[in-house]
Amino acid sequence: MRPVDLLAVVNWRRLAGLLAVDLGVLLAGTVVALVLEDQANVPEATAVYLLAVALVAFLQGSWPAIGTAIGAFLAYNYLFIAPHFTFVVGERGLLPLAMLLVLGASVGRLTGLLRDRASESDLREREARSLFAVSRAIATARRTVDALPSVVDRLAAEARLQRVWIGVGSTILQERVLADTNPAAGSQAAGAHLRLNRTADAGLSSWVHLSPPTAAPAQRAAGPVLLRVELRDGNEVIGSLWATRDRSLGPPSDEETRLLAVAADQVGQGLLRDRLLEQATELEVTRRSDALKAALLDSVSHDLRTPLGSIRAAAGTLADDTVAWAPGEREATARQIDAEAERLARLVGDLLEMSRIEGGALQPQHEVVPIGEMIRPALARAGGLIGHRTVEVVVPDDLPPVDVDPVLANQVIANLLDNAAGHTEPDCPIRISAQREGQMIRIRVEDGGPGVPPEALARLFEKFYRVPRRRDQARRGSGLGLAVVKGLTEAMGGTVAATASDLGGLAIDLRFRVRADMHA
Amino acid sequence: MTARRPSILLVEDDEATRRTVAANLESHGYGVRAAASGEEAMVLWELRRPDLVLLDLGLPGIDGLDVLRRIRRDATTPIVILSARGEERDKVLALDAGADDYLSKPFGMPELHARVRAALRRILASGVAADGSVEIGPLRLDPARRLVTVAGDELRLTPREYEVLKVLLSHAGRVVTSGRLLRAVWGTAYSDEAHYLHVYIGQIRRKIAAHDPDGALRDLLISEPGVGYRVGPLDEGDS
Repeated sequence: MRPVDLLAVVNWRRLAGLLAVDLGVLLAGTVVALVLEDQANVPEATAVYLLAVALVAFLQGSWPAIGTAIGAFLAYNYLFIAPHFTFVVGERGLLPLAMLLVLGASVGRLTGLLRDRASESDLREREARSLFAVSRAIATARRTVDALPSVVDRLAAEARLQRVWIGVGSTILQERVLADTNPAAGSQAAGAHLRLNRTADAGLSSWVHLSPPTAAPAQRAAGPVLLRVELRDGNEVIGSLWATRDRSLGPPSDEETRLLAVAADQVGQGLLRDRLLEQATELEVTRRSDALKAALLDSVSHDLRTPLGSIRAAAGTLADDTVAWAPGEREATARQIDAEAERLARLVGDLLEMSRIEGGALQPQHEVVPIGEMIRPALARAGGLIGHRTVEVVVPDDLPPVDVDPVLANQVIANLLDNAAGHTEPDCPIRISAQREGQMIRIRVEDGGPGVPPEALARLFEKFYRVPRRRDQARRGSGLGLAVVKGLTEAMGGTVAATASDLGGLAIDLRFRVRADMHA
Repeated sequence: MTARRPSILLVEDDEATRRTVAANLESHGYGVRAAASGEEAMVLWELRRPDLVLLDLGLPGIDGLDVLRRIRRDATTPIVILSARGEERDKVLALDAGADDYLSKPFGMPELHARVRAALRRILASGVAADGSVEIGPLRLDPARRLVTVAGDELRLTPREYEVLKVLLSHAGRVVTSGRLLRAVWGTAYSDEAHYLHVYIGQIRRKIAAHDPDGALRDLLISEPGVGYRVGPLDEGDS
């Protein structure tokens, strides 16, 4: 470590600018004073110099003003105090000269102080605003990572930096960049840099020059200055706030340093918060998935065992040759096996479908499908369950097609028909209708059954949710049919909703977007 | 049926299914030989050609699709595929490789009988007459005059609609995949444009319905979602 190279950071150009202004003002003052004394016969030109000093103080602050006061003192002495054109002062000139010096210095100092205060309060206000903006960006973002792009942009603007980026990683070389004002610039992190050496107390931190062995020696002399502020989690370094700065601007000012230090603290804390949040979410997901598995086991074991028990009992009876069968009973028993097996097959199908949906294994093969094609094959397939009831189909011929997977879409409709048929009496009407709603097509499957209480509507699509029923009602359905409907519909980009039907029962609405290129 | 007992080769690796299905078909007047693997199926196939093959796609050893291709090399015997629900891709593969129809597992016995009857009827009593005309219910297609009539009334079809209907009718009772239909009517470049078909089939259905007030032809063109279309056996219900 070495101290900052002061020669490299003193701004000679700026110093020259200051001197030029001072001399200019002084010269102008002298000319004015000469003109006044010669032409206007004003005896004392001292006031003009005081004006010049005040002007410099206003423009540049106390110290240049005091410098100007001394300059004015010398010029006045040389030009206006007898004997003229010498620095020798006669007895008569001593008092005005001394007064000019004291007054000039005082005016310069006072005006300068006022100016410094004003500009300092400006700086403070600006600093406070920047700090506030950075804190707010981090505090209001859902994840700190999301706020980082705006943070780096603001830091670059407020702290006069060329490029600002934030990397996380336990060492510099392992850092992963999270945000960068100039992502195209590539990595500069391995080179020589100024590192902000931070103290534990609130005292001001200092910049320390670091030159890792990997850095090219030439890098230090030319090009922008590379700055680094560590991001910390307690004592552990978790990453860095990096910045490049124009070499001619010198090291960051106190205000800029404070801004960078506070930003680094907040970003570090925010990233820590992100990590904790992530862990908590994971924990919650695991917990919920466990609860779900328990519900699944509970529900599935009952639903699987019931038909299995009935099948075994029926098959065992059929195989028993001591059983005396009344006419038609044997066939009825066999048909019962068939019906129970179908119920089992349906449940297993729903379970597999659900696991495909949740496991992300579902890959809809989208096609342009007319609404009629979504409904017609499903009606044919649901034949057995629908029994002898008539299903009213109201689908206008001129509806535009939708973009869905025809196989999944048919399964959705078939599940809805099953659901309607399974929860209503055999003579209950069922209706499928489709209509256009702006850019959407709404397909409604509804029945005239007992319906669903309003408070249960929202939960219908939850897995294993069953509408609370009266004691005399049989347990029906797996509690998965509508969950599968929702999963498949959403996988195809549609939505699903439950409402009360005009027929008196339940209405399920599917909505799919009309194909953008098919508004016919 | 006919005087001769139709013979069926059943290829199914699950023993319980194989035994039950074989016993059921036997008792319905079919002569059934059952194979538990692809190899066994090929031996039985060489031994004596059946009238129909019921083929499970998921077999140990030689895969069901390979069995299908070898049978198709030798003969046009109708083949009905048995496969799990949801495996539409496999069905399309099998249908494109020459299978006539498919049945999704688990299936009921009435469904099986309907498919077997439909497939057998295709060879035993085909709806295609010697002059190439096809007659199904009140509908008649006469390829020599490019004329389609319903109960004697001419159906005004566009050339494309006529071609689509002709391909389907000449494969009556069989599933024609969308890809095959598109290739036959539009050409190879269009085999992925299934929505063309939806539109044309919809138009054909509407035109037929306009001439078919009592709905006898309502289920003539059956959609098999994700697979293709078939001309349905009108006289068979679901039972």
